[in-house]
Amino acid sequence: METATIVVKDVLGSNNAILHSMGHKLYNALDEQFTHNSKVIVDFKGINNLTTGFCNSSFGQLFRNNSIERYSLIIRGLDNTIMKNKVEDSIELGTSSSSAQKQNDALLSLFE
Amino acid sequence: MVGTTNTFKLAGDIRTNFKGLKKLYECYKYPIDKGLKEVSLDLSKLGWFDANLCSVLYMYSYILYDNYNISLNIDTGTIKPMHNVFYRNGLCPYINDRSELYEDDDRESVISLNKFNINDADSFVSYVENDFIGHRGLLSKDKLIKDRIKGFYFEVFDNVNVHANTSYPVFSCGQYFPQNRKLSFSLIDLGEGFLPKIKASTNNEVDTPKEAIKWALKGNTTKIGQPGGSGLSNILQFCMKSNSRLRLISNGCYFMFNDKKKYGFKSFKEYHRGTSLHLIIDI
Repeated sequence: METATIVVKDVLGSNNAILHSMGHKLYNALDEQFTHNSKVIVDFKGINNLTTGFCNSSFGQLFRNNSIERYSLIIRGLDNTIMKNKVEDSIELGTSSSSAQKQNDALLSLFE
Repeated sequence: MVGTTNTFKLAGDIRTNFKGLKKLYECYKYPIDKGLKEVSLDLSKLGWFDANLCSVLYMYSYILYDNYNISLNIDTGTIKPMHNVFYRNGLCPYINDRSELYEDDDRESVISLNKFNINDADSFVSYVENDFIGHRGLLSKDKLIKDRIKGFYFEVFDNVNVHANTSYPVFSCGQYFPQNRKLSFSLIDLGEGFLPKIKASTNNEVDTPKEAIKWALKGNTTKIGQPGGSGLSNILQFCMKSNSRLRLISNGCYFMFNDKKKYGFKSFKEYHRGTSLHLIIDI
């Protein structure tokens, strides 16, 4: 088993990782690479914008649906702190359902 | 009167609130009820108008024409100098289909009126980065704050793409108010609203527009096998922290958030199409 590299910009054909559907494209690429490789590098070079929805439908879905260790996924090319946090949050949410509940406590207290 | 031109007088103040949005709805309802094929807006009695709501007028004119073959235009002879934003942000040129009506935005307060295909993320990003984040109202803001603000709009755009289920465009417009340092922005789609997908994904447990909005704002998602919410929860959290205001209409239900003590729902059952999101940021 080897290490594969996925260049996000190439998968999406765009500098903007905005839509859920784009995240799903990355999820499919990740899913395929993890069937053949023990580690996958995801390179965000050239990506200027990123949403929570994109991250949840790619990384969140990957960790929710598969038994993949966090260290098997290597994130590269993200300099922006907000974007880094979105990726890490989606992985956390995909890994732990209690994190998802905790995240929305403030909102729950508003409505209930 | 069927088939004739008529005039609808839009009068008084139109602000980004329940009352203002109800008044704008009359522009849509009037020609349908009267069986008109053309209606002209008389703005001579118009008071204050929140320019971000030009997106609502543009959307109404679009859907009136597309669904009913009704032409909605503005009687430019009734536009007062205080409303010249209608020339600067593109409302008059778009609605009257006359590009020569454009005027320079010499006040640099306009975030122009626009419409996008819901799958065209790149065009929307370009619009937000150039027209909105590049706006003078935000020039002095820290890059981190600007990145956060634009991020919210991308979350909203993604949200529209996920729930709208429509081939109709999404409409947007904004305005910077330098005197009270507020920036307003509206994003409107003509899709099916939150309820259908949420109802289906919760096995009918969430079955009212109000509960659907609550469900989405709490951070739930209709996507099976995926964690996290719709992006709306992030926007609401931002409003809670930054003294900003949010208005949301979906499936005939209006939600407003001013602060933790001033929020609530109202029925807007007359208008069921799509989802409208209006954000007023305190900068």
